[in-house]
Amino acid sequence: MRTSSTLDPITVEVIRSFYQSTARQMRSTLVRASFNPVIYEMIDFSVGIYTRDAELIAEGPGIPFFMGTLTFTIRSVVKHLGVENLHDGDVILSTYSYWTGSHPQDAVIIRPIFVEGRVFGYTAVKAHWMDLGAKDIYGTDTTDIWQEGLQLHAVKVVKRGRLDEEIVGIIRANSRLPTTVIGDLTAEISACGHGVRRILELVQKYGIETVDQATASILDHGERIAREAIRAMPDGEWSAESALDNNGLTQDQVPFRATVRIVGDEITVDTSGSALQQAGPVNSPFPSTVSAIRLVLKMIMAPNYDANEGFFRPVKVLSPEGSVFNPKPPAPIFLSGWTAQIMAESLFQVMAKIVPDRSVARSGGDLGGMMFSGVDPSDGSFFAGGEDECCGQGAAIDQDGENALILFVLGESSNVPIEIFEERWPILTERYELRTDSGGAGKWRGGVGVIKEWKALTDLKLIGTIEQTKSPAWGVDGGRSGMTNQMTISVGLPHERPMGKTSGLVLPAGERLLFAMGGGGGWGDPLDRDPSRVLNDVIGGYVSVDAAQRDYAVVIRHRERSYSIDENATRSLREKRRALSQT
Amino acid sequence: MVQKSDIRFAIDTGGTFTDIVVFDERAGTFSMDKVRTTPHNTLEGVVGAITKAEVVLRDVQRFFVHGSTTALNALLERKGVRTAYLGTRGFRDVPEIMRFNRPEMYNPKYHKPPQIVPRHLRFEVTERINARGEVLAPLDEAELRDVARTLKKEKVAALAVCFLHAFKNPAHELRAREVIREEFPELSVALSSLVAAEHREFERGMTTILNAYLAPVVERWIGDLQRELKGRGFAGEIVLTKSDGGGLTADSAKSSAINMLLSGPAGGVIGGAYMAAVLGQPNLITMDVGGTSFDIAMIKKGEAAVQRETEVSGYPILISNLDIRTIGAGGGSLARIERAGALQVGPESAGAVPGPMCYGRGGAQPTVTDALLINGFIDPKNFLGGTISLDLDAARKGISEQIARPLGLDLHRAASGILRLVMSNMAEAIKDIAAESGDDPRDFAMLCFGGGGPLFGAYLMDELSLPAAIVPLLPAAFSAWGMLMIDLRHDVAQTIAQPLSRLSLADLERQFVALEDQGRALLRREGVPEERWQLVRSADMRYLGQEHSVSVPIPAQLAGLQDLTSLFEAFEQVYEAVYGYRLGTPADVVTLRVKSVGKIPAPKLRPLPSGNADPCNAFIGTQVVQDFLESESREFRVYERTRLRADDRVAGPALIVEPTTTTVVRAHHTCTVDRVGSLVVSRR
Repeated sequence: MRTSSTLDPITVEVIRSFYQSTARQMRSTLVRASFNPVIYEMIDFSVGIYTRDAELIAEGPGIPFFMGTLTFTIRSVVKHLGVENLHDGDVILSTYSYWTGSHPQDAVIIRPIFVEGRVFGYTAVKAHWMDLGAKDIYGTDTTDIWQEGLQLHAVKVVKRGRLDEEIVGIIRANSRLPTTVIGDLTAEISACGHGVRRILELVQKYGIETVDQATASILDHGERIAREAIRAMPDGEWSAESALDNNGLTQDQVPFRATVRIVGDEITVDTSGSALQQAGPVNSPFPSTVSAIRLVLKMIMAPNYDANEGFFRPVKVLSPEGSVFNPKPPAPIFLSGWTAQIMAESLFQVMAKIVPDRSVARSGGDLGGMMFSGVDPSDGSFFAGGEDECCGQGAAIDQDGENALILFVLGESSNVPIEIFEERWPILTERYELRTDSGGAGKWRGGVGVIKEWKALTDLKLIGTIEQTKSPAWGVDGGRSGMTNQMTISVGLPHERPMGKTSGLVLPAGERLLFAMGGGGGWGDPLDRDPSRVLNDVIGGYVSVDAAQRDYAVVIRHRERSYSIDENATRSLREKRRALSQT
Repeated sequence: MVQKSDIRFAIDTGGTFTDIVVFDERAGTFSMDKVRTTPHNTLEGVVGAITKAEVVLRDVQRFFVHGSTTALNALLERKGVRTAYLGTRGFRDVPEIMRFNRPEMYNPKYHKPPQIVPRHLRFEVTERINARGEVLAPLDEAELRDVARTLKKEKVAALAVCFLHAFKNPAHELRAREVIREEFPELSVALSSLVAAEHREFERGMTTILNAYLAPVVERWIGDLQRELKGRGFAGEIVLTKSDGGGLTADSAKSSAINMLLSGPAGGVIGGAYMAAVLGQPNLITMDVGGTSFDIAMIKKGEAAVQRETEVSGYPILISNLDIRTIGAGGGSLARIERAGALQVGPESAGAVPGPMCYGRGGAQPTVTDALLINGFIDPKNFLGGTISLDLDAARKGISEQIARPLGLDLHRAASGILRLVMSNMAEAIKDIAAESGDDPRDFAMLCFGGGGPLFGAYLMDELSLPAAIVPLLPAAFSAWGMLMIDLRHDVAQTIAQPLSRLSLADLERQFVALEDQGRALLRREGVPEERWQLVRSADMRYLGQEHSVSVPIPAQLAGLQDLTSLFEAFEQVYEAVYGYRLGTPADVVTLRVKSVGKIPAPKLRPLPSGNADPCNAFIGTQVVQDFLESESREFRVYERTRLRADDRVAGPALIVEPTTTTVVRAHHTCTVDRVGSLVVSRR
């Protein structure tokens, strides 16, 4: 631990809030000016301010999954270019997955902050562009990184304040949606520029020495909170297992294992025992692995604090090289996010044992990702779009899981309203509703997922990323699993069939697609659930009358819209079940 | 003999106090009073204020009031009526799915706000309209009648109807209301196409639900108010404040509960826009420091910024509302050391009960007010005009034990730290709001009000390099004062969401005329004479592919234009002003809007007699004050505001006191008194 400054604590706090507000402003600059719903609605981005050593100081609210990944990107980019070759007014673009931790469409923009001719720190933004030089707008079956998009290691798109039109031209020429992509590039550059201007104001006001001292204190403070939280946990070693449905090319499950070791105030997460790197695009570059693990630990250790590098000093991540969590280039990585997220969510299972009041059972585990493209019949133009879906959340030791909520890794990401969806794309949504009985039973019930069905109004080319169709959300402490995710195409027709991770499938005009998103796991024995809660679930239609009896041993009588508990039948059924489970 | 037209007054029901400001037109004077708010029934506080201020109701021409507290309390305490929801078949769960995002993104146990309409009271009916407004499936009236009968059996009091794309074609919603009323005439029905005719089914539906849930409560409150005042001889007009800063007469307000939800702080901003003209400062940031919150708004070119969407308790609301930002920073904000050793101030507040430690009413944690007291900004014997006596020792003890000792600071440094921190939180909030609209705060003067505004104005002016901090008359009741400046206003809108290139001038003109007809009809219903009507057009536009739009002023006549390029040019000018660049790519027209205003002549401010620049007549003594950005304390001269004259110049360091607040003039500042009595603080 570095020596904390002697700076007065109030100045530190004032500077901390200045950094936070700067990061928030970078975020609003990006969101306002961006051209693509993946940025302004799905919030698929990350903005942050970093020290000269690329330590995270402050982050604007974006996609939690990207939390802290830019540290890796900045370090790699600066090492590659040489810090002596950075100049005031330079802006660097990187799309290289092994440095950014995600597919090339998640383009990273980095701008060094120069004070008195030296690098003081960096502002950086990673945001998902709609299309960049890949064989398709999204990929589930790529076999190397070149199929996944334009690979730019570290390119100065702005040199000493001047935009390089040749590089912009290269990007434009490598996208099916050039206007949108250039708009987003501009928005990212503006966001970084705003951050730099604000930090320069800060340094001018307090002087570089004070700001440096305050920054060190801010990170030390984060570290103290994390160490304190870890120290309060018992020492020991725990493991959790999980699996991907497949690697995009073959149908076999891909097994993961995560081991948590706590010693004193340090925590290590080791992914040894997980699958080797895969031929399909499910490999997770190390930065992405680290980021997902950090996110879960942050949610457990300090959910109410703004993230900074200090929180992660006591956290170590070990992933053997050549494994699915630390692959070697040019292994394909397009779907790295799913791999990292599924493994990271399994850490909640470990945490449910260590700090039960802070953890949760598992969620439906996926975001039902669907990308589509086609030709708009009204004007013959190419369109591409996409959406994510929510799932049921895991129950906790003291509450039911929330219904219909986005996966934790996506945070503030929102759905595209049906009315906007239909204004934008030739697709008609026919239902969007909660999925009865999808939540895992328990003393506390898992949240229910959703069902969504839509009809193509023109031929659509589909790329679906559906996951966790084979691994239901686990419950905790006797809680049951939720229903898994399912995607079905050509619904109601003789050729109706389930759909897994797929690229390039065509859904002809007039045919339907159905998403059925999974429910969360339950917590505690369903026989311990208060029957009046079960009754309320039945009245609301979250749980069916049949499931109330089958899963909770609560017998419900009803006439039309009037429901009541048959107390005697319930008591004897519950006694019988308890007796049965003890034998 | 007093003429009826001589008096108008306004009442602002706040969390702690109900303020009344009375304007006597003949004398040209304003007066104010305060009574305690009566949360269980705000009407009592209103009547109490009228009684205390000795308003002769039969002489009153107009009474301005906001229903915000009533509507908000009903929402927060869940005391709205039993409400059901009716949606398109397949979509009854939209209000529960919401937008499925997690506002608390690091909280694994996050829960959405509770449902206003439980799932078993959410119904569906077969009908479907597409994005172009075409009917894909007709409304199934037989099904609808079944639903209506169920609603009756369920003893529902209000129904919110939200069909997909109804904002584009309201036919099904309108027909549904007719059919339901045939079966269940007593049911109060809110239609999404009338409450908020904009796209996004969840936000529009939620707004409709909240309107349905609250309207009967607000209606009852307005009815009670009308009866109560009439019984006391009042025969003038009641004007209710809306969240967008406009007003509504009482009868039209009854069906528009949702528009009043956030009208509480609107008065201060309306007063700010009025003062912008009086002061010749078209760019103003208004700031209101109360007991628990710090409210800010920006006035640009004399107009307050209006946004079209906001959020209350986690529910989105699609209504026009003044863009007022609030952070938890005020006199009651609590200071504490968190577990890893950092000092935090707010957002939690000690509120009015138990209040700051120095109130001696059981407050156990130090607050901003305690720090102000220790540093000498507040006179313990003269707080709120001497109505509350303050316990300096309690404040000292609290800050010294809970803040100074753990941080290893002396008492004054600890108190200064609390004040610096709360001030810096305020400053960052202002930077955030300015950054979002692409503005530089240095182009704005600041209007400071609320009990604490004049104490912090000078500091924020320095922190943000603003040209001036201005304290208006009656700063502690400025929100009520501002309500006297309200005009009647109805905003009507139509979402079209189409590329500019697909529209024609004739078509746009036709749609604007239709909106203007709606606006005129509303003003006519309010009884506003035609010569006081003002209709202003605008359009929300964006580049094709963007989501966020900018508001573009549209000429009153499109017929005179050559073609659409001038609209495109107007859009790009606005866009460039906000974002700093143009893209030249095609544009979309999202929503057409007409603002229909019925002007109410505002009170005239009487000039203050001019002094001779020397404020010596107002000098009442000195006070040792620890300026919280300085290391040593100093002697501040103390002046009494009521004895200052126009053109007087008060050199800092000084405090200018009045019964309900104190204006700080720092050592390097000068305060001049303008011709209507505002205090203008600036750097020397």
